[in-house]
Amino acid sequence: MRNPKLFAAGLLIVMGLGLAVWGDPSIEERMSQRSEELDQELASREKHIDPGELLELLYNTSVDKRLFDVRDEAEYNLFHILDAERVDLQSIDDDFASTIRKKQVVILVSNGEERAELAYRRFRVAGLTAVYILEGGINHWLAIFDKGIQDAKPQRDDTRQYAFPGVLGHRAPASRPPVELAASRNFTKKVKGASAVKVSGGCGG
Amino acid sequence: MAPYDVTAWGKGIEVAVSLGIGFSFGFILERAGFGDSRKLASQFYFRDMTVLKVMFTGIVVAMVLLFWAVFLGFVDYGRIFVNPTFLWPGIVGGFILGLGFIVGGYCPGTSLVSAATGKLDGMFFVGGVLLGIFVFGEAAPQFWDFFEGAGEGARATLPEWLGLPTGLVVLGVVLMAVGAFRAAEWAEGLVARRAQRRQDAQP
Repeated sequence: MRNPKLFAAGLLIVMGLGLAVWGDPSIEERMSQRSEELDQELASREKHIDPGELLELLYNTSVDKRLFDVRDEAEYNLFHILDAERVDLQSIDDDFASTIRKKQVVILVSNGEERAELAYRRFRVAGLTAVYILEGGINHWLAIFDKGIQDAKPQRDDTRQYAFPGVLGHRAPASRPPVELAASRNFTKKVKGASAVKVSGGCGG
Repeated sequence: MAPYDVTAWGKGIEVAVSLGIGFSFGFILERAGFGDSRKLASQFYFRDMTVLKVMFTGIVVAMVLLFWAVFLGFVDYGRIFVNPTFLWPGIVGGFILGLGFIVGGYCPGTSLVSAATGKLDGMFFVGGVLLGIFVFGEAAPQFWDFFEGAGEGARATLPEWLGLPTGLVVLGVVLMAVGAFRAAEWAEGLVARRAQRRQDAQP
């Protein structure tokens, strides 16, 4: 090789050009690349939290959190958990994720779990790690805190299984049940809370 | 998918990995000639710009390979720890470190390399570093407000700050590095020619 420096510089520029052209894969492409890993995470159920744990979190002001409801607007208007923010699945991208502080815990809600799991995948590839899903979704939440069926089984199916006499939004009592109801649930806490900002440094050289 | 949680592999492996990375880093610094304070200090007089070339090469090679790995799906960029940005403390600290670098001829890492190869000046510098760490630790409460008030300490990256695609920023930094290498060699040549002229002019 006549000029290795020139070759190395050229190689770096070509690789940089490659990144400039292809280096920003879409969120769907990244989800596809990481599907196996995300499938395993979801299959472990370590990110699915019991309604009792979510209820405790709602009353715990020391945990910095965002609750996102990924159902259709009509369903959200019909009923939603107090403080839940409705968000379209497609709008969850890198820009949206960048509005969430790294220390914030994200909890996702759909009727069952399927849409929430799709949202989970999008948030995860957008770089968030403290993302959780309400086990069994709103169907399960209402079965417990509205109908009082403590042993209701959570289901992934996202078909709506509830009805209200009108559009109640967060005015329904089950929108913010008393925190004491959480005590009647037998669950393992999974939300690790916000990771503390780690301060470190050094010139390395 | 990387990055892997080395701490989950057991304390022994964690220490072995840390030692391996540390030894490799030190070895490369030494092989690049960074165990010699005269070579390091020469960059401030544009006589020998090896430090800039080696360090900037390390930065751009690591950056290009990292983002290619992210692009190919081998690395989860969101899980890579990025030092939080404290802008003003960073600027003040960088200035103090630079000053120490000119005066002493080493930065902390290279002083360790120098000390490891038995150089006395490197050992004294390491002693100074340890003393500085102690003084900093004792004095830190006095300026903690400045440190913590100088920003959220959040993860701040160039693509986010500039609002540009990551790939484009990577290309920009690569071009900047290549330009810096060219400029460094030009400066080295200029200083060498001037030195030669001075030498020739002497009777």
